[in-house]
Amino acid sequence: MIKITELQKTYRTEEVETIALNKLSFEVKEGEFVSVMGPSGCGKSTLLNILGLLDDPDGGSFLFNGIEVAHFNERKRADLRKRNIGFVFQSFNLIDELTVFENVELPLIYLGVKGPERKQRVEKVLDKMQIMHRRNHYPQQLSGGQQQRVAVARAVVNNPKLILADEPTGNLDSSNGNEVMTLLTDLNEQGTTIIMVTHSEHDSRYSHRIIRMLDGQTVTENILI
Amino acid sequence: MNTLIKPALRQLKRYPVFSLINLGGLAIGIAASFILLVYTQRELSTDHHFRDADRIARIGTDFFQLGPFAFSQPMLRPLAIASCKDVEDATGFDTKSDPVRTNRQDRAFTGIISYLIDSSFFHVFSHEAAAGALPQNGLAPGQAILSASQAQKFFGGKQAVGQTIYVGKDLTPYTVVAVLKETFAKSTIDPQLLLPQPRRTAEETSSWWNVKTYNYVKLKPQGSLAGLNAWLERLRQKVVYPASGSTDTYAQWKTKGTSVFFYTEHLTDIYFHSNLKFDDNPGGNLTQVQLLSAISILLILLAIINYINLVTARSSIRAKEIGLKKTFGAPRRTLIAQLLKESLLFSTLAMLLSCGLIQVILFLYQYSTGAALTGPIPFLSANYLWLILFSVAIGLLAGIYPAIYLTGFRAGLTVRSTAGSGRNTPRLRNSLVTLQFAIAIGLLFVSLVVYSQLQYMKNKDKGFRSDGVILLQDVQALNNLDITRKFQTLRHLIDQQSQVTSTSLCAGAPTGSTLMRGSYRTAAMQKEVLLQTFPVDERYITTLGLHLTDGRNFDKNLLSDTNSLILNESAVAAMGLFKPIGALLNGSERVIGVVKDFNYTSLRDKIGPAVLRFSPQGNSILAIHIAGGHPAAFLDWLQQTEQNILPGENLETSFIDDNFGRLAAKEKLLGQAISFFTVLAILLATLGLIGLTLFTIERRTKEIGIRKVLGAGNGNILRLISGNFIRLALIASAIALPLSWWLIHRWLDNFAYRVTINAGLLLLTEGLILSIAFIVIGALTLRALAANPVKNLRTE
Ligand SMILES: Nc1ncnc2c1ncn2[C@@H]1O[C@H](COP(=O)(O)OP(=O)(O)OP(=O)(O)O)[C@@H](O)[C@H]1O
Ligand SMILES: [Mg+2]
Repeated sequence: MIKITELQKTYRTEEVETIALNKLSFEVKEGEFVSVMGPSGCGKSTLLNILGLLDDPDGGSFLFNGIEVAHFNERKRADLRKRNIGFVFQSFNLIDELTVFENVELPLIYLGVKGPERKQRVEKVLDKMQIMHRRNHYPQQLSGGQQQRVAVARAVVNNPKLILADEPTGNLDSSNGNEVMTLLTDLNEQGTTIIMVTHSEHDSRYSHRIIRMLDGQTVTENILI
Repeated sequence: MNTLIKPALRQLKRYPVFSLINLGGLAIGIAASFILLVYTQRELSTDHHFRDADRIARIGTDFFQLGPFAFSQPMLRPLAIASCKDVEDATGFDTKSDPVRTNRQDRAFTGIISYLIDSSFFHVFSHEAAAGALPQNGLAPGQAILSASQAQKFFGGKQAVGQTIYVGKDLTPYTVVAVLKETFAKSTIDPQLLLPQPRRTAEETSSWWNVKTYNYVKLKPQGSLAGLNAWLERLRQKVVYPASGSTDTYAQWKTKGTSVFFYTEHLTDIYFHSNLKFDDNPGGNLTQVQLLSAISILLILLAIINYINLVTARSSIRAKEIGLKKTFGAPRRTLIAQLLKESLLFSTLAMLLSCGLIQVILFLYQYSTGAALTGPIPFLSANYLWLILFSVAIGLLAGIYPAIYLTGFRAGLTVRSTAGSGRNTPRLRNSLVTLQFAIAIGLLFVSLVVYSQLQYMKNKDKGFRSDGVILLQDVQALNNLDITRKFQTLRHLIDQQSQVTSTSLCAGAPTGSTLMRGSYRTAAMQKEVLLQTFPVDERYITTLGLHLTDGRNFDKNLLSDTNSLILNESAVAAMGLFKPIGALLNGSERVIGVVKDFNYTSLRDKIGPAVLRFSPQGNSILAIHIAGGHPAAFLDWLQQTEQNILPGENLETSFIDDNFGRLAAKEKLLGQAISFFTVLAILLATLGLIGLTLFTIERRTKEIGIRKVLGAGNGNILRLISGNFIRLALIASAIALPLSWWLIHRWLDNFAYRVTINAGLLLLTEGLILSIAFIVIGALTLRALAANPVKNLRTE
């Protein structure tokens, strides 16, 4: 599903030039659950942003479902993104002014799904995440674990083929964290490909494979299964 | 103080755009509304600066329905002093505008209005001297007093007192004994030169039909206008009526048109309310002053709204600080005081800034309209005390709401409270933004209507040719045969110029202030009517481009035409003539033609009836129509030729459309002032909108990022940010447009000829405001979007 070869990304600020990704290559097959690990600052989030089509690489190739997308323009990337990819962030990134229901509904609105169908799909996924009873609450009224479940719900509501998660349990205690990990595993079992960045060895054990990074390069790949 | 200034400076550093918008907006608001305040104050207190101004009154008169005139009979003054018990003193002055020289050989200064004053002038009108000493009991023969500006024009920086000026054609010498002190106050008594009143002639002291003196009385403290009126009524009965030689009884005579009437008015009412003819000063316009004061209030309101909006918008940031202080035990009162002090500091800063801005705005006003709104506002006078009070008031007013709002949060909750409620609908901010839009929309609409009315007046067919007509006036030609002959010679030379298509000698152009009434009656009419009459020659119609709709023009070869009349359509209607051509008026005068109505006063008034009377001789105005539209060369030639043929004679040259323009001058000032300050108001509102949009974007940066990640396009985001503003703008128009429509209709009702307000103007207003809003919001949003949305997320 994903094949990157010699991917490069460099950040230039006035004083320094940071090589965030240095000729990084790997492949992720459809239906896999992959963890990305490595010390802070090694380029994990950068990688995820590029995989998520939020940012473009400076060099190398990125095949998404066999299509070269490394040089897609913003509009094409946005289109590909909203149809195929869901995101889960460490800090949840819910919109404070919107209710749980409205937050989850957003991706469907931008996909142009009609009202009644939207309602049905949102309710279904809220049910699945067991936060239906909180549908009219605002994010600030929920606990961290609940918020992350809403975020997961929002990530999956448009049935993406790929979910990218950047430290999804980073702000959660262990029981809430485990709950989220179980959710992700369930999704993976139903066929969704998942790439997750994590610092937690515990969490990484939920995945099939670990990609370890150091200074923008892969060092090892552990196969867990 | 340090604890106050330091945080303020830090704020400025941290949010420079924000703070500058806030400060700049407040300063512009203060400066602009201060200027308008000074302007309206000055207008409203016109003539109030004279000592005991409320006891000064003017006596006007009327007879033959020619007036009512602002001036009256010279003999009223001695009579009033001698026999009216309500009068403490009285003064009467004639005016003239003789050429003045500072040297026998030099060129003359012209256009100077001089007052010929008597011994009571300074008793009634208190003045101060800038140089020399004012002769409180009047000028001795050979003495003169100059206004400060006139002294400057005559003598530059030199000492004027002691100098000699030469007045009139016979170069009568006068010695300057004093210079009047210039005041910022406005006055209808505004002499440039004061000269002694020569002895009254026998005619002047005996005829009730000789009027040219502006008579003012100073009432006794216990006297009243009613008392003065009663005295004037007795005067009519006991003195004027016997002198008229009328065979009617007094009761019959006193209501007839041929009687003499008197009109009295308080000095302080003259500027706005007097409607008399030959008022020396163009009067003020109360509607205009009211409109501009309203605008001044709206401007300051806009600035205050900006301030409140931007400060409360930032409350989430301040709330944390305030909340912490509260947690550590600061009482609410102290916190309110702190915030008020900040606001005061801010408005003081804005005030300092506005001192400079006042000059900038006055300059821009003069630059863009070509006319000064007020004289230079005197520095460091009472005005500036006002300015200080003004800005303190604004500081308190603008600060009180944010202070109460911010300190109202409960201590422990504050950190989460702004977002805790989820949707934080800033209802007050929304209403204020709506109000702001409403003000901008209302003002824009009003100024568009005023503008189109002025355009309309400018372009309206006046019934005569208004461009390319030059008027050459020679007052002397009326009673001097030699000059008349030379004037004729001049005319022949002018006629031979290739640019000149036609000339006409007449006694009155449509835009002149000359009043000539003739009385007319048909055989069928009970009473004669008085109609405006223009004595003209046979080329008047061609030269002025009047449209002959019926009959024929005068013919100089027909002897009978000296008894012929041409009427305008209104006159035909007024006389009730069904077949005007051939009709006989006054028994022997025959109507030979009809012209389309032409306007001879301001467009405020309906076109009145007018009669052209054939009078080939004895006219003193030469109307010249020149083709092409490049009159400069012709005017040069004219001046040369004039000097050769009539040396020393001062011919007045004017353009007919200028004259008409002068009639519309008041409206023009209003138009200029309204559009200028509307632009300022819109600028203020735009500043506020920029600030709020920046704030909104800043506050929603993260949200914008999330939405982008979830697939929102730029269009979605633009709609998100602008949606609320546009909604508010639409609500505002729904309020402002009907209201301003109603208001401006009342102003338009003053005009006999007025534009109709159509939907186009409404749409234009709406379109302009919405485009400004959309451009501001769009540009700022797109700028924010140009940054990668992911970066927005990372900042979290
Ligand atoms: N916008 C940016 N501008 C400049 N440098 C950046 C930018 N974003 C990231 N970097 C740098 O690129 C490198 C990789 O950053 P990245 O965020 O991908 O690390 P990470 O592996 O996700 O770290 P962490 O585990 O702490 O989240 C770091 O050295 C970081 O400082
Ligand atoms: Mg990271």
